[in-house]
Amino acid sequence: MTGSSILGLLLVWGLILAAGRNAPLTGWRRWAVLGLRLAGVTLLLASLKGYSTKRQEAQPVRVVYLVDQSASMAGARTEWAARRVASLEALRPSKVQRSLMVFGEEAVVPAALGAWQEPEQLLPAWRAAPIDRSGTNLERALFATLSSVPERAPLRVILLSDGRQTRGELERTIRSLAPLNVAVFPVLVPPPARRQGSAVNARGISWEQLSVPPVVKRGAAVPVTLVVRNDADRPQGCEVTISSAGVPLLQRSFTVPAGWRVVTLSVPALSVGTLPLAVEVRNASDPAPQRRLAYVEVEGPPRVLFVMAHPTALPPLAMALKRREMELAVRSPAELPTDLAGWLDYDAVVLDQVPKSSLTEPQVDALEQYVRRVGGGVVVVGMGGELGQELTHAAPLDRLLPVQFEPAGVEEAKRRVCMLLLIDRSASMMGPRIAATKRAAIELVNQLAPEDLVGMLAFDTVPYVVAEVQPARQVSAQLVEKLVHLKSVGGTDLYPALTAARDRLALSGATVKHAILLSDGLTPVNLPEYRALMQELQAQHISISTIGIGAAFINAELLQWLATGTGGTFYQMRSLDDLPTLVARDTQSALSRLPFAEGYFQPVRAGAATWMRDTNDWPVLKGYLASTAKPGASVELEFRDERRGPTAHPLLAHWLVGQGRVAVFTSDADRRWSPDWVRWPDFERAWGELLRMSMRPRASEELFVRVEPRGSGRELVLEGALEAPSVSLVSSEGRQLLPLALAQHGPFQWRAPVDHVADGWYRVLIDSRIQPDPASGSAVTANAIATRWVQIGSPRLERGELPPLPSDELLLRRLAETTHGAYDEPDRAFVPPTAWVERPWPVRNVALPLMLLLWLVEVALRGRTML
Amino acid sequence: MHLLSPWALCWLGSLPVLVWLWRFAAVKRQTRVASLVPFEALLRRPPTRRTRPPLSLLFWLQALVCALAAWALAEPVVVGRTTHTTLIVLDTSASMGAVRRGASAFDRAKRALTAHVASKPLTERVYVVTSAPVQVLTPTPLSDPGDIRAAVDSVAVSDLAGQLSVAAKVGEAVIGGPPDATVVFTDEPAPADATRSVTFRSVGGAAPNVAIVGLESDEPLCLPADAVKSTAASSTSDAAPGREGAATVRVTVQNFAPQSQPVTVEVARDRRRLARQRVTVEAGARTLVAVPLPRAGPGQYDVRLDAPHDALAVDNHAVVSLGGAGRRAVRVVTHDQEFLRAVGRWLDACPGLSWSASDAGEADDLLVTDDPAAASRASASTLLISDGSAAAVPAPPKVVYWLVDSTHLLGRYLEPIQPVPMALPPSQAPGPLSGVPVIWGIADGERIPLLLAAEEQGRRLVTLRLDPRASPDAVPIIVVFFNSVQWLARASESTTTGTPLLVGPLAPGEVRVERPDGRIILVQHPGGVLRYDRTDRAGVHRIRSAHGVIERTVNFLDPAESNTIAVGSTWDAAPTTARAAAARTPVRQPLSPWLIIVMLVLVVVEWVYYARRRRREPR
Repeated sequence: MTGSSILGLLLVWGLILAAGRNAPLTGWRRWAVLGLRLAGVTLLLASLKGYSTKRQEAQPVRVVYLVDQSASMAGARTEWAARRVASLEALRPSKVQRSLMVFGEEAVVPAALGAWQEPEQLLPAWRAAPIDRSGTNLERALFATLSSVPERAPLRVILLSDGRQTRGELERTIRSLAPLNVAVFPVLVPPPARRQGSAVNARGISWEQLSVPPVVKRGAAVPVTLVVRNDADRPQGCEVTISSAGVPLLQRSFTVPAGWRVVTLSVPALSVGTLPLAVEVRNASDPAPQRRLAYVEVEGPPRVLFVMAHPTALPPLAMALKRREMELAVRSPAELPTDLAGWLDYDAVVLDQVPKSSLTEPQVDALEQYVRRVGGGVVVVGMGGELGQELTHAAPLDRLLPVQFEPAGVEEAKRRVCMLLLIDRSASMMGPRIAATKRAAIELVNQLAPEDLVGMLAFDTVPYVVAEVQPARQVSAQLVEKLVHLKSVGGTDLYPALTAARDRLALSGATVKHAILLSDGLTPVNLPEYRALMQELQAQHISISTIGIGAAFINAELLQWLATGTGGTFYQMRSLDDLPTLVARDTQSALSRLPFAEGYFQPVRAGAATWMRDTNDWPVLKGYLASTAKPGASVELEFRDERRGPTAHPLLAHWLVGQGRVAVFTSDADRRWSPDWVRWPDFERAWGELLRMSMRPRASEELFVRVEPRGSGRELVLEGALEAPSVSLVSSEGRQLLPLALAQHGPFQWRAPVDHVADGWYRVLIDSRIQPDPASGSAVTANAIATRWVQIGSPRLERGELPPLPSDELLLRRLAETTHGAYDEPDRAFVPPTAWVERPWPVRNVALPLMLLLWLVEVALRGRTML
Repeated sequence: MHLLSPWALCWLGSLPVLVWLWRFAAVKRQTRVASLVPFEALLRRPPTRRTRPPLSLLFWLQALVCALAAWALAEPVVVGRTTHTTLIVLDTSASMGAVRRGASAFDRAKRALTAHVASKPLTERVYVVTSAPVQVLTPTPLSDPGDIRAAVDSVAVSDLAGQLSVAAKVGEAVIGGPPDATVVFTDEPAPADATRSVTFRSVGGAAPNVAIVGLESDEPLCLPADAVKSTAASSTSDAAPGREGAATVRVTVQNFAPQSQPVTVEVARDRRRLARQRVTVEAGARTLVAVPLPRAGPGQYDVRLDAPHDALAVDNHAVVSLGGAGRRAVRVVTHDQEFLRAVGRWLDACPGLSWSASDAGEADDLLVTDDPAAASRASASTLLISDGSAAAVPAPPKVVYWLVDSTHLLGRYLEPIQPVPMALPPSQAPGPLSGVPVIWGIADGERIPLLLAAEEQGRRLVTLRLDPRASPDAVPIIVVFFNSVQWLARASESTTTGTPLLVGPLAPGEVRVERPDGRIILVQHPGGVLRYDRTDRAGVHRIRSAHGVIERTVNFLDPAESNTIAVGSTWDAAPTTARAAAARTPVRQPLSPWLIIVMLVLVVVEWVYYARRRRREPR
């Protein structure tokens, strides 16, 4: 009792007691009458309050026949349903009350129903029922049965339908029916049977299913698969049109044999983003098309920001990445963004031979945010600029790198070859000999690798530099020009030229130091000097080949002594035409003395390496930047040199910075230090793999998104290698955004209920949303990691009710199970014929009669005092 | 006016009784006189018995009360014109239990509802529907604010998620058409697209909360190979199920608060704390808390969460079942060695399964067989792999298009339509097929059911109509094989509030369901699997039957409801019922309350009149 009720009761009692002091009664009668009056008043108040108790009572069950009369049920199906109802009526116990409703878009009780056990008498009333037959709304029909029952009696619904709803969302409301004491007993109305030998069915082709992949790569073909069924006994023509945003992409006509067929058509995925597809199927004998919608997400390749110091021609690394289907954007360091938003379009950043000092502090800050918060990947390849400066001075980029470069840390393979061509300018070199010499010089350079060193000295009494010792690639273009200007003068002194050659060859540090002397040998000889020179040449491992060239006499003895003493070869030239050949032959001979890979660096896999485990043989490198891995960095490839002790220099090292990864390749990916890598068949594959391991995770490769039943409801399931994902649904019109509450249910599985989401197509945005930066106060929103389209609820046909439509038996089964009914067993609705129902029984039904009795007793006790 | 219980008018028989009492009283009346001398002549005559009662105002008051009582018992109602009908939707979802400033949202909602109905006109009819579970509190409309209040007082917050739109639809169905007004009392914000006739009374507000939103209680059916190795290395026996070993409970905790919070997660068993982890969860963040249990035998473990700012209590507790470090047993029954070899290869790929080719085994072992007779005899859940051809040599595989029902668990990870190389089974099965087709195969113009799922009496049966010998390496076939094993083992099913409990099979008879809220539900069970739908309370449900006691846990894991800091709207502005399915029931205004009020007044007036009247007369 509430306070007000108690107060009211006390008030009335007070009145009774106060008035009762003057009651003309004495003794026990007085108290009895007073008590009876108080009791009567109390009973009246209790009746007024409406107190009630619950009482179980047996109530006859009420059965409602709910018959689908939408357009898809016309003809034979309605007749079948009428016969079924009539047969059930014959089984119905008399105690069970029944009624009938027909429905399409809404449900009504048909008027003027005839005898229920005569199907022919049911049909006219059904057909005349004023309902909209252009749709099937099971949800509305089932709710309508609730209102047809005046009391909340147990209700059993025998539903005769094909289950194919075109309106309403029964799946969402299905579990609300059971607590309302409604049990549904669905009966699937079968489709009309195919008749042998019949004429072509006017609606012979039915379109059962449509399937498209959830995601494709840009440029790939989108397979659109249709399952069709031809109910006729002979093939029928069919036309399929696939369009997107109103633009026809494909129109194809084909013949469907009798029975079931799967047809696959392809349309191109030309641009990145959502590709909405509208698929229409026209039957040759049915003018109205059937239409369905589907959505495909087209993803582009990974986007890589390729940073070069001087963006001109793309280096081999960039070309390799492009061939691995990565989209490259090339920038110089000055063009790099200074805020995070500018980096978000990219999945990875490659700094190729970029001086680390060229990145400013704001740029590095933004880059760090990109890596740390977005999970972007950075790969630093080599180092550009003045290495002496770059390696010895700190730069903002240093804090991101997993290695610490050593100040004197350039390890470069020794030069392979240093060749010098010594040309005697004495009077003997004139006319055609110059031309021959030019050809010989060109031959010499052509034999060399671009990085091999070559120089040219001319001499008479003193040496003159024609071309200083330099890489062959730099000298070839100039050589011809310089030789043209070579003039012949008088006098020859070989000794200064040889010493000059000796000095240059000694300084080159090459493995093979060789000179080719073109001279007639007519020179003053100071034997002790020459012997000393010979010893020095031998000590320096400098070889000299000599080619006697002269108008008449040559000092072959000297020339031979020089060649033999240094390990070279003396050539006696017979004609000028032999000169280039001799030079080439001698050059080859010198090159053949090179040891295999001597001076090159062989990368080996580090002990704890996990990347590229299927690659065992790595090409050698000619140089790298010596560095030390920082604590926490993982080394994949390294150089080990016993001469340096146990410490190895990393070639490829990486570490995690926040959610992203920074990797450093301490050599270059170019011809200077990595010519063998560039020529390596696996060059593209290795670098592509390295980039993919470093770049921001592209979760779309292994990502499953689906809608699953959960009890009587449904939930969105997300499976993939994700970290703390968040998901939002966007309606197909793009207007509604619904964030979903994901909860992790396994290492790679998240689930979110979608019971509250209306049926339809939805775009699922899978996001790693960036939290607002507390320091800057601005919120930055990242693009979604991946996008998928899902269909929630049953597929809706765009066409409507025209048969033949496939049945939805599963929906009917779910309906039976959820409401404690039974599928295809409608006679069970009659059993038992009564049900125990708990009903409220008002206390008034006892209180008032009791009050009346007490009233009469009181009157009797008062007796003649009332007169 | 109509009388709903006209037989109650027999209480009008009290009127003659009243009349007789008055007459009797009149007969017995005495008059005192000073002397009998003037009345001696009268005394000599026999006294005249009064034939009519001495009717007075008192009599008529009493008679009126009797008549009114009889009339009230006859339940008179006045059928009148349609009055204003209001549908009240009361949100009883779990989030309404969030406490803010000492009061829960549900308490505030009830107060607001009470205040709303107190000010309404008496002619207005009110229907009240709750959202979680959807329940019609007032099957017949109420007008009296007290009655409405009483109906609302009988309701409490549930541990379910609610759908306001569905509750409104049910209400409309009960009314028989759209109401004149709908008032929704909820903690959800009013949607932007609500129609004018719908009024939202939002009683919620941002309340910080920390919740358990995920619980990794399902041990995977197939363990990663290296996890199995480490498990085997740490336990003394890796083949015996139920042995104690190290286990880890993984709890996903989400902080629905604008500030970071220290959160303590405890795991206990039989009220004894076993382990505890403390973490700091950032504002709005979700964290996986791994709580290692050094020694964990099979059984149920309580997981509790504690945080300083926590508005909702229901999401702070969950129960996880650990099965120990054992493996699921599977028996393969067949006489075909090739079949055994093919299926064995598949089963060997899953270290979480322990299989044997034996007819004997435990009753609850999963059975994989190609023998329909063995499948029909088995009491355990069974996977029948047979194309029905009984061919000694499998037919050469051809491309068959699979049409997959993606809504069924058996259709996971498969494309809706995909080509699969397999030997096509005969279109006509040798015997009846039981179950719902989940996968159809299309080839040669025919559509053939390939995968059927059935469940009866708690036993599940999957029929896979193909020959595994023909294409043992086809990925879709392997996927569907493991989907079937997982579904048969119920490996991925956990019960949360709102999902039905399936227990059994149980023998026919009375079954007692002891709910976590203390209520006991008695069910007359016809036998078989008991399906209990009213899982609107999280906690342990005990089912007592002739079999003994079975405990089942229902957890509350609903991040949408736990999010009390940014409550979303579940209102779906779908069109309401356009036309009434039947004529609206006429408005019935009961007169009994008015009659009782009049009776009360008359009773008091009669008493006062009786007492005062007598006082005026000389004694």
